[in-house]
Amino acid sequence: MMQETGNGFFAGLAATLASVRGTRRGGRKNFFDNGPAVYSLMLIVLLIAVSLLAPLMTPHGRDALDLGSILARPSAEHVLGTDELGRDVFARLIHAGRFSMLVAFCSVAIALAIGVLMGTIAGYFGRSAEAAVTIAVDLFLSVPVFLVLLVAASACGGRLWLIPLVIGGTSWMETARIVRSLVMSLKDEGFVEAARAAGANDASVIVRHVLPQALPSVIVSATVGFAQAMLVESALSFLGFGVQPPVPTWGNMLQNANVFIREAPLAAFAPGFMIFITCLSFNYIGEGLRRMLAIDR
Amino acid sequence: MKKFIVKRLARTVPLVILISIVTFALLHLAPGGPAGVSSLGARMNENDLARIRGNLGLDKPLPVQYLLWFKKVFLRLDFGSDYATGEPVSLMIWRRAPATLELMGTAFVLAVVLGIALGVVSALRRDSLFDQCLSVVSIAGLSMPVFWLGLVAIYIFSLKLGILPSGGRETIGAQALILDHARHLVLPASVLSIGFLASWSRYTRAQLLGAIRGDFVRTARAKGLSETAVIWKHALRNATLPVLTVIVMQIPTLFTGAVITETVFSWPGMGRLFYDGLQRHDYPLVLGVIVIFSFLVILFNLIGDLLYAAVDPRISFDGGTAVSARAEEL
Repeated sequence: MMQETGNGFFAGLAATLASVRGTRRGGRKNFFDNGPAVYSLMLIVLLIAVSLLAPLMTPHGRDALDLGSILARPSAEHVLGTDELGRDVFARLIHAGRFSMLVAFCSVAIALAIGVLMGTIAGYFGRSAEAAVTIAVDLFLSVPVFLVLLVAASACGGRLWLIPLVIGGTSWMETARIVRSLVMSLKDEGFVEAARAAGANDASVIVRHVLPQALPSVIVSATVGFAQAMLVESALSFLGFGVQPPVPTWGNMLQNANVFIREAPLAAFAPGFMIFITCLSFNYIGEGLRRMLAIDR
Repeated sequence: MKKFIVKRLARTVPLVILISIVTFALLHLAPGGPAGVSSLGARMNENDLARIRGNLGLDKPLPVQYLLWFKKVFLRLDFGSDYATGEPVSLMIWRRAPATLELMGTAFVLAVVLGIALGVVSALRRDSLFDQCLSVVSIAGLSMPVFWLGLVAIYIFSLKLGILPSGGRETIGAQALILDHARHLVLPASVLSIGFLASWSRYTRAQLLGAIRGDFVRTARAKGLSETAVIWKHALRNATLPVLTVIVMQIPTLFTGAVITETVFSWPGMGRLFYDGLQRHDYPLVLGVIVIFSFLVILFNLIGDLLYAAVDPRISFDGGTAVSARAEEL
């Protein structure tokens, strides 16, 4: 008897596991079958952990100057060497992760908020609301975005919290487009009409019934958007118009890289490499999510 | 069709005016001003600064300043003169344009030719080792900060191997001019083209795979056409048109990407000019570049829309909504 119960239990567990791991209906794939996506997710978790625990990971202060060893080669004391002011590159690198990821995260959050709001209004109410949103999208698509971004970032004057507003404010159009077309196709579905017939007002229909359906697409676009936002921030900071030192980001650590690349190549390569693997991971996670949620682009 | 073009062109001017107002406001929000960054900054007293501001017309109220600039630019096509040198802005931009066009053109040709070719090969050999490698390389290309790629390229090819120059457009006093020019162009053009190459090859692959699944390809095969004819005459023709549309619409992005590349490689083009102007708070110069680029973006968007409509006859121009239809596809 025991044996059988055991078998039954394990058979059930195995079946459950198989159904979770295997191909599901509608061509949906399990996220964990996608090797690169899983490794990417693990890497991102690790990067977040390391940057949160940054002060515990290194004896050197983030901004501590050591004018005795400027542009030092890697050594036991300075694992990645020092920069042009004698600051420990490794310490700055892991602290920079906090700001680079935080800025990218906030930028995406702002872009999503604007995009979802605009897309929902346009898709749900149609007519003049849709026309207004179309004009706004057209306007932003007609702007030489990066140039205006540079001007806007220079207007921020180094105020850290303004940078995500600037990046998010110029990258919401894609989300708005996705949400608009989804909301438009959903608003005449039976379950939405049923909710309306049951007396729900527009706001609750949108929040409870329409938006949850749009969530998968929005999540995928947010994941890829994170990589985009990080690349934009790093470019702005590299050019000197983004986040200002001494607050380190992976982008602004490279501001003087062309000067010290000869003496301290590692200090010039490491921050860019961090940006690269973070963006690569987010792109792979986005790809994995897209396959899992069977979203066609 | 004609009505659509006229309508779109008519919308262009208010759009550019709006963009210029926003840019103007942002420029004046930035801390510091043109007078303060002058090379004599530290030795000047309040009176000197006020006099400079007066000379540059910066003592007037902002709306008046904007209207004066507006009158000059849109009525007389005069972009004003540079604060530092007093040169006409239009002349400065005009002088820098060839360098940018040269860099951009080379990167564009590289990205188009290689992007489409690689995309086609990887679609035809779907799931082969080549296809998988290209997929990894192109997603990596899209995840790479351009300026960092530039630094790495400079380090490897200029500092370590010493085979290519690290920046600039020509060596002073060089003998073989064309060869010298080409050598300077290799790194910046390759770096600028990488991102576009990656995205266009992915898009080509997706479009071609979509076309191969299409009914018309099955029909062509059923007619007994050879596989080569099916692929080259039917599938590829249908796949390349949408690819071309996307490419045309991304041309202005190539322009703006030049800002970073030109900065990394000290390339004396318009992007570098814009960057220097922004650092010096040179309002007429920055505004001039933005206005010109806005016109370019709108122009290429319009060409892209027309191309898109030529590709897909289901799109009508009646409501003037070809833009949203195109956005749908992207």
